[in-house]
Amino acid sequence: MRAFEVDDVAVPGVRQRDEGLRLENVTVRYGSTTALSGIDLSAPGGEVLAVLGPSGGGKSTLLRTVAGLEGASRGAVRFGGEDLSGVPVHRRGFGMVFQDGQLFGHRDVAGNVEFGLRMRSVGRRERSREVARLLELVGLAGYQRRRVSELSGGQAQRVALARALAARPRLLLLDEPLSGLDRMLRERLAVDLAELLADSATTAVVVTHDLDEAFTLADRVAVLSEGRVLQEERPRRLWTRPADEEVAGFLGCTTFLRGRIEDGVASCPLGSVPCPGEHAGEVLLGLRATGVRAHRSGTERHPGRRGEVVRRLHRHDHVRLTVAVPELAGAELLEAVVADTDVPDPGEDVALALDPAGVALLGR
Amino acid sequence: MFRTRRSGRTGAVTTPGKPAGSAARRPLLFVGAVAVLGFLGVFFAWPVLAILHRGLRPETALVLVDHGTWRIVAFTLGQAAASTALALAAGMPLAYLLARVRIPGKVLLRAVITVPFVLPTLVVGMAFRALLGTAEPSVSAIVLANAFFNVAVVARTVGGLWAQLDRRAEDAARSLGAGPLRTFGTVTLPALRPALWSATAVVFLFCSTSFGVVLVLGAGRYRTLETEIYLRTVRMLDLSGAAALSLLQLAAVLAALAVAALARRRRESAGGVRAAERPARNPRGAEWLVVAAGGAVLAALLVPIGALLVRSVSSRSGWSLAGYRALSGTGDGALGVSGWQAALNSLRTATDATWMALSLGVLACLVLISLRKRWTAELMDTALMLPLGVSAVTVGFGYLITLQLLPGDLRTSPLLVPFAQALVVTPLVVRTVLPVLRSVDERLREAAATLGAGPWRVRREVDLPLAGRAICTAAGFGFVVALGEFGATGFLARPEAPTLPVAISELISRPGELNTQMAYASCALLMLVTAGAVLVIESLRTDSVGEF
Amino acid sequence: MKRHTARRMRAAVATAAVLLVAGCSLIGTDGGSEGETVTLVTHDSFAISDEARRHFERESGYELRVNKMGDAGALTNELVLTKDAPVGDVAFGVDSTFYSRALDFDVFEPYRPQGSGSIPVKYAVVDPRLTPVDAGDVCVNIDKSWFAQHDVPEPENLADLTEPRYRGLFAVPSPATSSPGMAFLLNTIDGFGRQEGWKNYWRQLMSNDVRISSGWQEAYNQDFSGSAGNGQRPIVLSYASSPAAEVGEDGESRTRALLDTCYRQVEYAGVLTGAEHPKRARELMDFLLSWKFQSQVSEQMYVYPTVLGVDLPENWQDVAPLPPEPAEMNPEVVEQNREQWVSQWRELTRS
Repeated sequence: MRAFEVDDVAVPGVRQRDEGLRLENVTVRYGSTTALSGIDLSAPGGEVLAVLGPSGGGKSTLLRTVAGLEGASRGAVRFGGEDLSGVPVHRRGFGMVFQDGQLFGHRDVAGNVEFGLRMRSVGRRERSREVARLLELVGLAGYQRRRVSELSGGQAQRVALARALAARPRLLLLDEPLSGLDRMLRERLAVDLAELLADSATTAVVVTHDLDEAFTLADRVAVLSEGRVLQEERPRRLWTRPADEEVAGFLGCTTFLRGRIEDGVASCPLGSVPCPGEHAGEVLLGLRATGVRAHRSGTERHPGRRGEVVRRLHRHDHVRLTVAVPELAGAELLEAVVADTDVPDPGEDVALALDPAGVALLGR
Repeated sequence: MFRTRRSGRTGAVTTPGKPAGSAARRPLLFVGAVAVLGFLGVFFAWPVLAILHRGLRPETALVLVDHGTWRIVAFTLGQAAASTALALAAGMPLAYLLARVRIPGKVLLRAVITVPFVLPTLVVGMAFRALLGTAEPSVSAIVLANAFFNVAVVARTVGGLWAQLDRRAEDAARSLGAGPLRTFGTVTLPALRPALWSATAVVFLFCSTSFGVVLVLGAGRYRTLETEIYLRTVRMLDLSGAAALSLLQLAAVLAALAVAALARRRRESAGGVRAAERPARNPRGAEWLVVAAGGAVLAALLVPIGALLVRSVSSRSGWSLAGYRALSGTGDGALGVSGWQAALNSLRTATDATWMALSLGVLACLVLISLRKRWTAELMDTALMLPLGVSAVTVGFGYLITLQLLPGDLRTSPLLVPFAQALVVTPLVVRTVLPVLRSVDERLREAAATLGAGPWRVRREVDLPLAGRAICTAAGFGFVVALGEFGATGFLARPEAPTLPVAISELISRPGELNTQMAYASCALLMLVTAGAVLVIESLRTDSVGEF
Repeated sequence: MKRHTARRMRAAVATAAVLLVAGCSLIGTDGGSEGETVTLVTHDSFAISDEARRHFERESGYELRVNKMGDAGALTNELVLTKDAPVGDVAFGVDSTFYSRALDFDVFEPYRPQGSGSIPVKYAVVDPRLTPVDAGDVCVNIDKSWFAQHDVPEPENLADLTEPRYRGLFAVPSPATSSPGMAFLLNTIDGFGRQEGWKNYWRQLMSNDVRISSGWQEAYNQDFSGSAGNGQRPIVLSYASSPAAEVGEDGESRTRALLDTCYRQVEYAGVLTGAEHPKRARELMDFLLSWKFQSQVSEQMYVYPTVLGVDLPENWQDVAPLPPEPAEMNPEVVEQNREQWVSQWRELTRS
């Protein structure tokens, strides 16, 4: 058994840098339901692809199909140019980090981390050296003999990551790797993870419903909904130029206003934002709450559209308002933010202005 | 086994919904299934079908229209149901004690509650007859004695899972305002269901095929399918009638198993099993009531055991150890061997039966969890359970007319006894191990696969260790069952190698005080051997979920 | 922790290996025996002294293998079932009750062993296929001391047992589930008439509170006051030989068989049809009738030898003499009516 397991796995360290992962027209069906239909995606060698989307949109199925845990009804998953349809999970040489870690409870931390190495018959001494290195890498040096039941959620997820990395995967698959963790930890771990992936130049696919996570980690982001890829883009461009209302909605846009672009400036009834390089024509503006700034009406320095505060919500670094603007067709109620220092009360009138950072241009 | 690479074809069509490369595990699955079903076929299906075939004649159907037959069916099922209910009721507090209460010497407790299971039914029947003072046929005595034998099954099966349940779910329920009883009903009990169903199925089968107890305490008046099949086959050579009753028994057993299968639909994988959290602690508040109930059950179990022990040191003229001294001899020639040798025979036979049943049972479990089609799995599961529900005499007589066709006439081989015992023990192994394996999170296996473990490596690295505790439990219990097995053993054991239960039966079937004393001393020896075996196996069993 | 459990696991595996290797397994114990063997198929009660066994093996040069197959009924039925592929060479233990069935199914081959000329007429059978080897008469036994203490006269015959003064004193195993029970039923049928007579007798027994148990074990070893069980009832159905097992230190038996209540059960042996070793089988048959074997059947199996001139053990003459005129029934009649009688008996005793 062992002999052919070893040579089937890609030789550690050698990467097919250019080809990477390609999904071609992948369709997955469960009985009569279609979980994925006609997916075309790619993650070139060394890049991190984030798959973003609402729950139940097929993100996990996508990841499981790549891992070989699900079979595609049609289409092909390729890595480094090779069609993987006949390659079982354990010979794909892909590492996977599951949502809740899925650590082996019957093994200690070292036993978990070295698992993949044992599967490839790596000697004991080298295993322990490798385990030490990886635990150091994920910030858990010296945790070898801990029982996994004694670990905190963050630690468990780090161990899961170390375990997946230990096998030197050609491709790392991360399924909502941080979603079970508390916010502070999640943010910190996302940054750590991003650095780690960048440093090791690992090709990876991250599935998540968390925007921050996706944008922190990914070189490219694909938005998946109802089994289809709605858009695949570099993060910054996705953020500012979502393809349609659905994508924009998922990226936090709550209000959509028609407008026009002329001379590198997009204008709408609430004001205008610069968009150098965009050609002239009709455009749909997607406004996030942060795209609309409210100011107390009393101050005449802020002309523009006015509205009445309906609700007020304190967030950790700003105050969010719901503002009624009766004369604005299609956006009678919109979300706006206001600086902490100048908070209007419900019922008060406020002046509204666009903040370019929170405005996306659709259909571009 | 070598992978077929379908390179260079884009859009290759694979079977929908199946993981890539699953074909690679099919041959292994096939080999495993063939091994398990092959054993079952040769040592169970073939003999049973052969003896049924020999008996089936047109007039066989006449038995089915006989009023008396249906009375027997009704009584069989009724007493089995009552016995099962009682065993469950009595077994649950003990399971709680084993799983959740910190008691010093718990291993000893485990050993003690296991002892009843091995005792010869004839001797226990006689003990109940004496203790209850009912020499008259008595249904309640039958039910009590059946429950006495099977409390251990419930306590061990349920206790095993209970000990592995995550206690936090209960804590959560308590914090949400559920009382202890409510918590038990809404959280603990549903999580225990897989084990409860297992125990119920096994106990029901044991009780419905209970032979010695029904015979002794029913004084020949209360008849079950099992006793009737025995009498018709062995005494009357009415194979036709026996075949009809055997078919009825088979139908009843299948019906019971079908009900159990329906009931456990999607439930066998209930509560999350994880590495032991050491959930035992000191009882609080109302939990003491359960502890008290457990204590009462324990005391009730100890009464017949104590009575047998007292009996083993009694003589007409007061206390005497004559029975024990006689163990070094052969009775007055009643046995082919000395009592000690019989004990050794028991150990050797049970060892063989245990490793056979463990190999088969674990292999069967691995095959069962690999089967994707639910009905195939159910079917195979049911097939594995059948030997518990079919009369030992049917199987034994079947052996006589089939096994000579195999090379090396197994009918007179010393290995036939462990084979037959393994047939009885294997279902117990399956029922103990399968629920645990079904409760293993599929993603753990997937995690192992993504780390490079092939299908059987996953079984070895994930399933077996996680089921390690259950496998040890099954080994211990299986060993004990084999030690006490009499139905098939009494039928097949060769005189030069009688096991203790066989020796006891021979001793008690002879007149003379010394024979009787030696029979009871042998009972004590059997209990001692059992308790010792349980202690040894329990001490090998690791505290955390086993690491292989 | 892990190292610890791993060590334990290794210990467990090692223990298992040691157990298997150290002979805690039956594998390899059979190993085709080196010498020539002859196999005796018999019932569970069969026993033979080491000395007699060694004698046979030395004289014949064959190793004697014994295959026990349940009680006399089970044995007979198993022989019938395995007729085409017998599990031995000689069968011993088919009794009068099952005699006809064995013959009807041609289980045995004709053979008249040496010494069969010394079998007295009372045991002799016409058919050359079966040879009477011993007799084990089924009789009512009583606890002598109980009757002495309670100042009740001892019963002497079956009719006495229905008298009011013996009410609640008699324990008997069921004919449906026990061999001696069956013999007792046949005895009552023989003694009181095949039509209504025996039924009336049983009705009287029932109303005299007879205690019916499923097996001889419960009746004798538990209900009977004269055995080690110290039961409540001083009258029990057992064997003519049973008192020999209840001899106290004074050499007197605590119990007595009522010689007028006995039913003769003869146990037969024969060469099995299709035996693998017919010649050895015949030698074994000769041995079963030899003085060496016959002289030890009483002590080993609590039965009476059938060959003339073989003496009973010394104290048996006093405590367990052979019943002089036991009842008997034609085996063919038994074979034809057995099941019907049992079911009639069941009806009768279902209160």
